[in-house]
Amino acid sequence: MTTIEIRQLSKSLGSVQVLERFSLEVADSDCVVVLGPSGSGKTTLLRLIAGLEMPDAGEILLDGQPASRPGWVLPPHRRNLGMVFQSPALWPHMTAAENIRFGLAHLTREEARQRTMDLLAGLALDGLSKRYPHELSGGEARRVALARALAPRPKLLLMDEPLTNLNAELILQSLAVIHAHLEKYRPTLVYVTHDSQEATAISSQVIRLSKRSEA
Amino acid sequence: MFSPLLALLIAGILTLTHGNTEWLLLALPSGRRLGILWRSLAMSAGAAVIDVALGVLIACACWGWSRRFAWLRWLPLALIALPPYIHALAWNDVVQQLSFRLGTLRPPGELLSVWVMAMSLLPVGIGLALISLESVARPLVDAALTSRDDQAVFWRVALPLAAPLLAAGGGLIFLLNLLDYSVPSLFGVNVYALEIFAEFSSSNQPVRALLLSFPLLLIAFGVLFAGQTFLRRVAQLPLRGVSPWSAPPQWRGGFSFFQKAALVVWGLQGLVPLVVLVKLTDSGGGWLAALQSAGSEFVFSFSVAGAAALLSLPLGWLAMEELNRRARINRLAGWLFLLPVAIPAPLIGIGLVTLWNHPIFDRFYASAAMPVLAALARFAPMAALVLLAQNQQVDTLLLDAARVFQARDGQTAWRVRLPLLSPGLLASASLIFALTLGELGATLIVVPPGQPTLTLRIYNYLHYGASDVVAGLCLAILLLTLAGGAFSVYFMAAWSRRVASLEQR
Repeated sequence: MTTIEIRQLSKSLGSVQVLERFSLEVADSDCVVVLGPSGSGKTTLLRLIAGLEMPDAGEILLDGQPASRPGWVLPPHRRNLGMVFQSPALWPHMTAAENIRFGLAHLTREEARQRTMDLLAGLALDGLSKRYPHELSGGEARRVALARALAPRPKLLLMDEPLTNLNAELILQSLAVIHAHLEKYRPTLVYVTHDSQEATAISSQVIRLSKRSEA
Repeated sequence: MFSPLLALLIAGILTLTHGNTEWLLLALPSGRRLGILWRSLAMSAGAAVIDVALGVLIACACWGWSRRFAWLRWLPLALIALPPYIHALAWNDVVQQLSFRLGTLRPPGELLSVWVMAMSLLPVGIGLALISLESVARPLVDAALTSRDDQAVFWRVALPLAAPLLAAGGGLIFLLNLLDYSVPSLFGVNVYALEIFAEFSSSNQPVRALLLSFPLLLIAFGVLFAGQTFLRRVAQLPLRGVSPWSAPPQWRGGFSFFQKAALVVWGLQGLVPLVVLVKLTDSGGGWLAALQSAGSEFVFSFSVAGAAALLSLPLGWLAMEELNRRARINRLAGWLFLLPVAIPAPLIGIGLVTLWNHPIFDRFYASAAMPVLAALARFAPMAALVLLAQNQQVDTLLLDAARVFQARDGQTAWRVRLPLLSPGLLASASLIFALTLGELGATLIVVPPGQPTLTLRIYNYLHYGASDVVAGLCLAILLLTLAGGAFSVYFMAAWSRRVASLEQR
């Protein structure tokens, strides 16, 4: 539901040129998988799209509107996006349900509760809603992070290796939830992974990034 | 924070330009004053060395504890809250009893002062030793353990890596002792910080006090300049509370013996004040009478300490934000920020008097705001350091996630950042509260007439010998501060454990 246009984007972190004149167009409701080895700039690309990093050069347009350019970024929460980070990044002082409800402040309490419970059930997390992150296993925490990203039904989903460290059964279950979500709400998805099998399970549109050398 | 020193510097320049240039000689101590300066330096250095050595030994001993009880090693930090005069009262009684029973002479005041100064700052020594040694990365120790035993790895790897931070911590303890006179004065020992107060009391000339402070300021600023990089690093280390040893280390012979001896001293540091105060407080009735007689001082002292603790939080937060932009902070800016820590306590008081003792500020000058200002001027940088430490522990990804998901402006700040910083805010407020409650050097000069703080009242009593009233008051402070300190430490340890368990995934 969001088009992404990335034009001649460059970004360096310290002395390392992570992205150089990178361009990409993602159509409305498309799913794009970004594949590449560690250090190829996959995570940086997602962070740039999310507005968590500022580009050194080039620009990003969302729905045809400028979202990032050198010296200015539209704040992440104004981009109507959900994101799954490389680590679960769950807030330790909130329960699993509170983590998921954080982005649902625009809904009524009952709507937010229902949506949270539905997602927890879909991801086989029933009964864990009141647990704090330190009381969850690594796999459970990853699925709560996935639920948190899906809960607001954003127009743009960014996923940074969301299925890492899950066993085969949980990967299939999570993929089913992601596919169901994509089918029902038609968000635009940018999915980062280094696993080519996982990439093909998500989408046929695959972009390969290669490792950059030091500037 | 800088206003007292700036006021004094401006007054100094004005005075000297009006021809009182002979006062400049005060900045070059000689004769008796030079002797006092050397004595102050030696005593402060002695106390700092004792604290760092005990801290290292205790840290090593704690790594042998089972994981379930490992958090207990942070418990002595609760004793930071114990004002130094309580240690002085307790150890003075112990020495008197021992001298009487053994028929020996009482040790010299200098030795007693060094011991009491060391005891009162021992929690700081232990805390800094734990932070310094536990900052050593476990893989470095693991790698060394493949070829050497635990003890050799400690001396060859862990200690050298922690040495710069330990030295900076020792420098901080040295400064805290050098700039305060409360403990030595109770044992009848004259130190340089007391000379500053005496000069101001006798001449009523703030500029003379400033000039007399110059040698102390130079030394203190130098120590701070040398150690500030490391002090900021201490504040930026992740306080995960994890031993650098994967399995409890096995210590041998003498080293193990000294660790046990250090643990005994640690126990005595907490037990001696408690036991002596209970003994001196002859009855429950006497204790209650003491509390009732000092009711107004209690309320006043706790109000001042509470106000200083609360006000230090926004100040500390702003300073922390500035320090956190590390790219913009250079060595000089960091030093300037920490500078108030290196100003002698009496000079802060004298600076505030110079600044506010004017007819138009009469009402303000005679209010409780003055001791609050004095406490802020002395301790606010420490609040910022504690907040900086907490901020460094917050995973930036958690804040990134909040920025992505927040549905309303300000949701990240209130729902995520503030709670994640809450252990630091609590620690910071507790520390400033405790330090303000025991503050004497600056408070003595700026306290409004007829409204002594509890510390001042006890300090005055102590000069006439301990009584059950003093003991009762000290016991009340001890129990209150211990309860508050223990709660803070428990809360922070629980939080650290929770965060550490998330990161082990």
